[in-house]
Amino acid sequence: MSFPSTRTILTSFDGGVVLQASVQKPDKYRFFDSLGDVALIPRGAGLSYPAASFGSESTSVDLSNFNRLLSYQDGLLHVEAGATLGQVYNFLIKHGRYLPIQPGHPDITIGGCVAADVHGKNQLRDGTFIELVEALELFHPKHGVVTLSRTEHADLFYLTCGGYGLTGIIRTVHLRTRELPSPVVEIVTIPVSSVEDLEAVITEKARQYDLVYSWHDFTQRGKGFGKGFIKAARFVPSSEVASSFDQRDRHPKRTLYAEHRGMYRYAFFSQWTTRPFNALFYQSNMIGRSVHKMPLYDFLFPVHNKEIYFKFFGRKGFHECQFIIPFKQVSSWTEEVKVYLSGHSISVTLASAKLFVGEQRLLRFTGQGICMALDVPRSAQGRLFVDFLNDLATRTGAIPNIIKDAELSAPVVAACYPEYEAFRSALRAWDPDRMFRSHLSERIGL
Amino acid sequence: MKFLIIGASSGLGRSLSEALAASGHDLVLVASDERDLSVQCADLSLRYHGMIVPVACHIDPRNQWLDAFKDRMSMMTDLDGIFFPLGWSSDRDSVALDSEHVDALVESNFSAIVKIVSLFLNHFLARGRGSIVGFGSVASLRGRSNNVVYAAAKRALSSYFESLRHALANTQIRVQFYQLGYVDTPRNFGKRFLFPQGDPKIAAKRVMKNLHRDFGRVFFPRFWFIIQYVVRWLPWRIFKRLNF
Repeated sequence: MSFPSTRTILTSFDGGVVLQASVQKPDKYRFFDSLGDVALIPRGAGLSYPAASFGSESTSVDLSNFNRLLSYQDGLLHVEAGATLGQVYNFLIKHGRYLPIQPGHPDITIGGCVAADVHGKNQLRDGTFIELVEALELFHPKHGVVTLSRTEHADLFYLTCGGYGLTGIIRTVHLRTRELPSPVVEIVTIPVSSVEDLEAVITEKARQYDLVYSWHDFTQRGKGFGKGFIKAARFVPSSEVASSFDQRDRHPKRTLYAEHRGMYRYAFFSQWTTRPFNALFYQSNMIGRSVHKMPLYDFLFPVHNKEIYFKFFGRKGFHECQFIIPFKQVSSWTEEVKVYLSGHSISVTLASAKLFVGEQRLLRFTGQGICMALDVPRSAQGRLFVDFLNDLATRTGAIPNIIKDAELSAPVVAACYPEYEAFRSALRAWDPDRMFRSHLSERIGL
Repeated sequence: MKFLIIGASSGLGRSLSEALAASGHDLVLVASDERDLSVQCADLSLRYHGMIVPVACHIDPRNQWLDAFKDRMSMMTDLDGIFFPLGWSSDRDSVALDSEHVDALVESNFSAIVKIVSLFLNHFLARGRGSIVGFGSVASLRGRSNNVVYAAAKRALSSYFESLRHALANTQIRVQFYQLGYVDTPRNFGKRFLFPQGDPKIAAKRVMKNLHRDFGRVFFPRFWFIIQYVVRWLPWRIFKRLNF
């Protein structure tokens, strides 16, 4: 049986890359027996902000049919890489477990989380997704199926976790799950008067709470620049959770697609609308700032059912940049951004921070500092702002997130990631023909 | 209840096994590749409470699949129904085809189903109840220059299910036949069709909902009920010029 291949238009989630690519969507393991010498790239939900799962010269292997849960024992869950966070959540919650590290939408696949080594809501305590990976099964047409772990092909394991799908196709993953204290979290909203106060407050809260992130208004000028709030959550003891708490499967239907994000031709966000939008968002969070309870699901996946936010950027899309700013540089970084924004009419629709610790290795987005994410509508001015931020990153020693910025250049990555060359060499040693390539890998010179 | 699904690891068969398992039924899943079958069974066993039994069987006229299948099925004396969401088509299927392809197409789409029904019919008659659910194709509505043997085999299957229903009319054994239009399966991935593709999950839900109804034949997606008349009654002068 042959597996049909089709040429189709694929779009990066941020709308920055739109190109025609070949896609195959197999559902049988014999597909892997038939792979020849063509350039490939695995594709999960296709929700990466840059074009990590497709390229004009590569065939994307859509793994969404490989989404089954294979075994569960002693807290170790074995899944196919196309399984989504939502599927895993629904299964684990029935066993009183959860994955402590999860990005913001349940449609994201486990394979995608491994390949981008994503982070969750408390990197300080939990680390990045690699911490949850006990072992994985990698397929490469030239090497066959290889089992990777910290003790088996360890170098390849570290290259694959945060390897952007370039070492081969992750077929299955063994995940370490964590006992769930309760399916309900208690949330507190702590106001932050300016971004200068952020570091001290978020450091304190990240140690006190289970899940922490902040939101800031970068459209404010002057002293109130970066005014916002920290959302901190801790698990409610099971004894305090009402027995009537709804534990039915959540999110039965997929709600987020890169191809649907640009469904509105025109953008809602502009220099006229973003400021009132942010003010309204701030006020709405301040009104509900008293301590309240929320299902863990809603806290882990804040973007679910709020996908309209991304659609508000219209067909052109948006730029998202995320940096880990070294603690010592946070003040100067903030000051320079503040000065830049005071002289340019840039609509920063989102500025959100988390606390990061850990050693930065290869191309994994880890390190010590404040992790700051910024969204701006896609435009020439927005592009200049992103270039400014990348230049600022090279000057301040900040690390840009490769899986966020669809236009991050090879020189910036090479300058900001000390092990860029080591990653590149190791990738070539494993795959001299570079069979796995994407638009992202070509752009950043891998 | 306990059901047998032939062709359970892909497309509609996979959706059907998921829907039946989610309803708590025990399942015997039959598919050609042991690897696909084992992960499918592992998944359903892990998430649902029913017993899921895998049976790897490659329906191929060149091998003695039926004998091996009979052996594996000899213990299955408590089945409540059989589903046949299987089929195979070939890009080479035309009016002149090598005998190996003809045999494979006829076996996969028609004769294997007849053989399996024959194997279990006495079992259902003895129990006095059961469900036998077949799946045809709108390709068989009218012969075309494409998918020639496939369409012929599916038309034969449709006729067989009519006969089966007639033969079992005075029993509590339900014989149902779904005439499938375009369905969104990996085999159809990326193909452009004249009409929208149906979602196999919706098809599976519909099959579940209809399980105890006595209706003979229905179309999925439903709008094919109308289109069938257009296809059948289209004047030959026009039909012969169409290439679809």
